[in-house]
Amino acid sequence: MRRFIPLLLVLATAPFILPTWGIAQLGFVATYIVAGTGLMLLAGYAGQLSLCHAAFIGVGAYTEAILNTQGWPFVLSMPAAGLFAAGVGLLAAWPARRLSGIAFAIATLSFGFIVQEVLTRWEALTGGNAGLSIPALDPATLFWLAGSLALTALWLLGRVLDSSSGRAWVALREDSTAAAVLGASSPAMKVQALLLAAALGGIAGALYAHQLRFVSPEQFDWVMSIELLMMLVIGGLGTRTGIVLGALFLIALPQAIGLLRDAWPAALPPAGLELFAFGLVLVLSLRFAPAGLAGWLRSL
Amino acid sequence: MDAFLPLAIAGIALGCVYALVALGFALIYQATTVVNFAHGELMMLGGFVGLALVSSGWPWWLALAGAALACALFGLLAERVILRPLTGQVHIPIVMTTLGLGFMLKGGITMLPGAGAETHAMPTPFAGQVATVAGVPVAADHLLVIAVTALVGGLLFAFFSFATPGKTLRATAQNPLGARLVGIAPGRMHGLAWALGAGLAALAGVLLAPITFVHAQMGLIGIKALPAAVIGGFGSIGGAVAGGLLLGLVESFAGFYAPDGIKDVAAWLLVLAVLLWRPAGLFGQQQENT
Amino acid sequence: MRLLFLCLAFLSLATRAGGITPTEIRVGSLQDLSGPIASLGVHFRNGTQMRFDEENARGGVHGRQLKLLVEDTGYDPKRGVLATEKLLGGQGIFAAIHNLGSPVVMATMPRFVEAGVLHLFPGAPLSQVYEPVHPLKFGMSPSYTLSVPPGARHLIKENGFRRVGILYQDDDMGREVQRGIETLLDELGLQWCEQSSYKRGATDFSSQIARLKAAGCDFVVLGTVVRETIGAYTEARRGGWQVPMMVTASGYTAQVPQLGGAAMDGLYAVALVPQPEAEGANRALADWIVRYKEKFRTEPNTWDVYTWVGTDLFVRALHAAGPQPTLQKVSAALEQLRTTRDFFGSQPIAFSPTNHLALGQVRVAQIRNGRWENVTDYLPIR
Repeated sequence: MRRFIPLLLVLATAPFILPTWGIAQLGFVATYIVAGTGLMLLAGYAGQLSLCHAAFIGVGAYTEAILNTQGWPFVLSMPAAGLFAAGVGLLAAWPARRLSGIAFAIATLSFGFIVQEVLTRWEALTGGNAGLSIPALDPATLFWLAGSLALTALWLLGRVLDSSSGRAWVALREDSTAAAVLGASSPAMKVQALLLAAALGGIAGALYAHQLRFVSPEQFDWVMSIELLMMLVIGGLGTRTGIVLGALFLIALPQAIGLLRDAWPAALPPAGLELFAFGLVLVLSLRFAPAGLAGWLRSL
Repeated sequence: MDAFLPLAIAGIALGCVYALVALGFALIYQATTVVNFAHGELMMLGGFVGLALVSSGWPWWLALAGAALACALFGLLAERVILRPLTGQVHIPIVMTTLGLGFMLKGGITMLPGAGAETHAMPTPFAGQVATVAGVPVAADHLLVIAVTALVGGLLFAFFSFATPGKTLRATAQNPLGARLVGIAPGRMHGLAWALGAGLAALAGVLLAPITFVHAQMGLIGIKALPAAVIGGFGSIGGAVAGGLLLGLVESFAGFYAPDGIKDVAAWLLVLAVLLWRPAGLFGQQQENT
Repeated sequence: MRLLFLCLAFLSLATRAGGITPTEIRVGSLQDLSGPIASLGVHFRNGTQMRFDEENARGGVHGRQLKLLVEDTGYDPKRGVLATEKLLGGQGIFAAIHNLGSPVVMATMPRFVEAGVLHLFPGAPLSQVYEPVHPLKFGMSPSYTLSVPPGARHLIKENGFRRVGILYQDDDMGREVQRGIETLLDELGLQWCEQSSYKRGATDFSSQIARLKAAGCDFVVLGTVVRETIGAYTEARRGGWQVPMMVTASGYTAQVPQLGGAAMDGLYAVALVPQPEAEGANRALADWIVRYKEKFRTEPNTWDVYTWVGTDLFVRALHAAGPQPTLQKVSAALEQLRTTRDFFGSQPIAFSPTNHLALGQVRVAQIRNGRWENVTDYLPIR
């Protein structure tokens, strides 16, 4: 708990100190922490490669956009976004619960594509490809909301991991047969983990919708799912610090590249530099720092 | 019903495109139990290498061989430098590494001065020629893809079933420890698989150039062909071809008869159905291991 | 408390006058330099930069240099939002010009406008960027709903087509085209003959073309971009189906005949801005092409013209607004601006207090012998 106090202080004072730009950045970091916490449960603790996290974020974002436009206050619409995304997570769990490894990854990838298509085609509800605009929320309120949700999500993850089902998930990652012998049924646990991951994804989506003030189906594609996984891998799979560090990294790298680009030789087109850098960092960190930034920090 | 035959032929032509790409997925998976998410980008790399060779005056056939060879070397190198150190780890780091490799390739190609951000047409010996199959016009480029898919599929099948290195590859994948015990170096086998896989990707990249053009985003077809490999049972050579053909036919007929949009998700619905029905795929024998 | 109010008032003033100093005018631009439409983004940046550099070489506007701050969004609205906050922070900007990509523009436009920044000529064919009229918002190209029908109306009436079909990309662009043609068909008392769509990145159009052919369409509108235009058109021609097809302004680029070759002859397109063709160019245009190639080491295309013309409008308005430009003055100057056909052959532009859309006319062009040729003169879109 003591570790949270400095974070709380930063959270409370940031909107008074930082420029709007910084607040927006930190807001996205917080949103990615919420989403990353959900994904970390699946990928980092239960050991399942989920490639449809963007779909849950998308469902949450659309739920928030639709309810908010109809006048729901965010204290009601955000939990609704989480619940609805969890419902969609239940659908994803139907094929995925009996799968593991690559089959789980591909089932979730397929599921993500299907959700995206539904968001596109259900025009009466989602506005289709034209997307939906969302009324603005006061930047400071939004930031405090995102920050406190991020802290809550991290705290919740700690509680879940301390519980018996949390320990069972880790057992599942380490050895599914052993987990089964100990009485932990792997399909049931996968369903639980997916539901929780989807709910957190949905809440993150609700935040994301307010931060963007515009949602369209193409934003929630599989590349976003990969981006989130990349963030966790670079931050450090299986640690809570890893989520925070990964989220910071994901938002900071484009800025760092922006600075680099100013000094970039004019002969080389800067297009592609960022993608290349993300790929390089990912490959290097898996090769030389498999425990991610969190592991590297601990080894210092 | 007079639309049936043209649709079937178009579906087979499209299916062979998917099959050719899916063969690359199957090859790497059969030999290393890794799903290579960089396969589409390796294809794109092959397309660009082929384009560079053709534009510097090489005849198309030589450029095709040159691109395949160059990418095979690249695959060998990538396996040695990036993937081999991860041997023995669970699938998440390995999948993420292939994704990272794909990002690097796509980003790196995009940065090529004056060429990376543009779309290019590759002149081929058959450009614009049309052949007639059962009264249905088919582009010569498509016929070539069909022929090469059949040839490569057959060769790979023979390789894995009868040739010693092929059988060794399969044995290594199924039981790395056992392979080591009988004196096979799994690392070298993986290197061979990656060289073959990347060479095949380049072949596909050059052959598909008349259909997709050469551009940094052309690797997207890798993701479109992934369902073919899954439906065919990951790692099965015959399955990849069958999966590709099935997918091509389904898309072709769904595009004509089904409401708009079904065509685009048909592949993924099929994948989910297959995974529900038989988690190892239609033809798959290999057990899924984490 | 009073001090706080003073500070706030000062701050709000500061943001309103942002981006302008005695020596420079700062202008932001959100581009896709690394994403799916990076090939467009590069030309958007080049055309804008070129016009600014020309002006700066002549000493700037009333002694102020024009500074273009390009931010890469990679077509990602999240990065667009962050880049917007970055541009608005610090010294701020006076205007945002040629921001590229519909999702990026939809997410960022309200922020620029709320911060009191001119939002000029975004590369997003959305009616929201120029309607309802707002003093800070000016649009360059009409939405596809408006720009495609005049060309289609001309061809349908001229040739007596009755069975109109469409093939469109399943995204905001494609749907706008589809909606525009639907309205046109209502107006002409016609029904859809057949509709078909595809997902972005598709490479095979055989089933869609078969569907349109089986329905017996005598005219097909393509809501497609470059590669898909070629794919669909050659698919039809390969099967011996010589149906006339017309593509949107997105397909009106030199790339289409270059990549598609002789098979593309006969394709119609709606054209908003001319192609910068060296062959048969007037002196001013030939000189412009040479300067462009020297500067950017690549061939100019229609998007360079598009952004050069847009930047030119802004520069003219800055001159007209006098030595102490304010948002109100520049906005009013834009509204009074009247241009005539320039050396590219661009259409005359006239904003007004009730019209903030620059390109109010379209031409129909056709590929003949591997080159785009104009079939009609400019037709009004409303």
